[in-house]
Amino acid sequence: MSMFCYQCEQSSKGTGCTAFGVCGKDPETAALQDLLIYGVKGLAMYAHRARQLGVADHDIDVCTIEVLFTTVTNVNFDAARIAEIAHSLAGMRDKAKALYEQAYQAKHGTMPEPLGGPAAWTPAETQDGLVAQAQQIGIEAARAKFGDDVTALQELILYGLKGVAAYADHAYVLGQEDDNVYAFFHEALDFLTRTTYTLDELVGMTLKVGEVNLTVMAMLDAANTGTYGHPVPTKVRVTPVNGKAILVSGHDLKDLQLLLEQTEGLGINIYTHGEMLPAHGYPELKKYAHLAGNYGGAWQDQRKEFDAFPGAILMTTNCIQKPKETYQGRIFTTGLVAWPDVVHIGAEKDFTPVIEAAQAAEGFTEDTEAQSIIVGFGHNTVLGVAPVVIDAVKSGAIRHFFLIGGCDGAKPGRNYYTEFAEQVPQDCVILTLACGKYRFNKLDFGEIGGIPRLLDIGQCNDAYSAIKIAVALAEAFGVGVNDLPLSLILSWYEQKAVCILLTLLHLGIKNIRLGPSLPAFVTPAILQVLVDNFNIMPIGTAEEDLACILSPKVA
Amino acid sequence: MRPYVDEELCTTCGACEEVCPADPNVFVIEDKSKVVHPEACIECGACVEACPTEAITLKE
Repeated sequence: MSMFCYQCEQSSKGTGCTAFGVCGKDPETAALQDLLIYGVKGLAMYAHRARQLGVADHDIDVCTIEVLFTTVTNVNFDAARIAEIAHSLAGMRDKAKALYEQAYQAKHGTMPEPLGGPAAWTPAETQDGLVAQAQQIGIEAARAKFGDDVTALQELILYGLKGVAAYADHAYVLGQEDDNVYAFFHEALDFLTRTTYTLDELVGMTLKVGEVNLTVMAMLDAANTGTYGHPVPTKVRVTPVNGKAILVSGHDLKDLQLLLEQTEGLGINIYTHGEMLPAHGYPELKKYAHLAGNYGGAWQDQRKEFDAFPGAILMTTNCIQKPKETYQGRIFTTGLVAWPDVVHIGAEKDFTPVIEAAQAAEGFTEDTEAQSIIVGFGHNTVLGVAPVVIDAVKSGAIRHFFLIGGCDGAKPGRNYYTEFAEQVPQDCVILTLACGKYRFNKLDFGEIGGIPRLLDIGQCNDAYSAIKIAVALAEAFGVGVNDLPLSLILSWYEQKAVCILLTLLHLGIKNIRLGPSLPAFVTPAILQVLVDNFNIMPIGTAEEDLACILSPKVA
Repeated sequence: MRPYVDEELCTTCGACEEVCPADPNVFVIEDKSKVVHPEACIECGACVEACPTEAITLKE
């Protein structure tokens, strides 16, 4: 059985995974994910038309973002679970169909023409049958029909939507929703089922995804800061302490909070992993004394680090990799993350199995030497010291800002980001976010007049904070963001990075350096459009890029 | 012949272990894919075919 997937940065041979996913996704799981996308487009065809007639349904809205999020890289590797989701998705599509037909009949007095294509999909009963259906509808079928360029833009829109869905789901978990956002998901997915397009329509929709993502990141920022307070600069221990231990990975702050509540007074220390690191900066999370520190690096090192971690591990959101046998019995998933034969904590969020596994494991048997890093430089903190920062720029104490951030990954070429950070001159400040920071966040960068030279803004979705900071600085200096002494050096891996990139393009941000490689799904023609309009460029070497950025501009 | 894994290229996706028909399995996925039972290799080439990063070669 073969597959075709090119949604992540690690796509095989820079063109796409065909025999097996570089991420660890087998062809069957890949096929079933393709089928979920097909099915959710069908659901959207009805939901979009129903909403135009003034009716919507909350279950349908939530199902839409959950299905999209399920297909994000490194989230769900469990074919059986995805097959179940396909069936419940078809049920939800039927609900959307009925909603549309009733509304149509009420308005026009007749039944509408039935919709074809994805809207008419009937899921096969068995998993094998579903896989067989998926073989007919993957990316290769789209390429044959539309050609590479249109398919590239369709997939760019789809991957952006997947990223936005992940953030919308995080916000939803904390009670933040917006009907306009759900409406856009259905509009955009319906758009992807059209049979003809103009280039302008496709580019317009691509940038619209970026615009809506800005709204969604703002919702998530409001959800996180509204629930847990604005992050404050916080020292985080990065070496373990004696005692039983649970490691929490992923992006869902609520899962961490619930686990902290359920473990209070049990003598178990909670450690953050990967993208959970910024949690230490939130007042309502840092108040727990047993939130002991951060352990390990970015997601791609987990097989070594989880093996060595003497406690239980909880995976929220991505990124999970194939567990080793040594820790298969003490790793757990929750939310939309799943791996075959790994115990899943359901919506009731009873973490008892995690706690029991932590108690059964050895735990750390001694304190290691204390080392710490500082996190918590969200927009509230940074803008709180804006006058100091602005003065430092005006006096020349700060020459330039570099935002070095994005996803991390396994490719050797990602050393670029470490080298770049190390070579940034002493009179420049580095802003960072997302898990790419683990390439350099334990180095000592020092300070400029009391301002740390490395400011950790937060998770990938805290790109919202970075945007707020950049816009505020631009206003303070009376210039556009592109005229600020600020350069964006971005790394990407999966679809959340795609939607953030689209947001930056929507805002008209130019001269972004992107790596370690450019997306496999972007064709030369589409890349040219991006270069012509946004001067986006691939990373070179750290030396060359720094020299180019810092060379005096010729007037 | 037996497989060799270029650990620089390996992303531990597990494809080689998944497709290996040999008994015992030639591969175990540690922090990287490890060839633990080279003697069991039947030289079918399935791992080379499946590896998405071209990290595996069959050599003497």
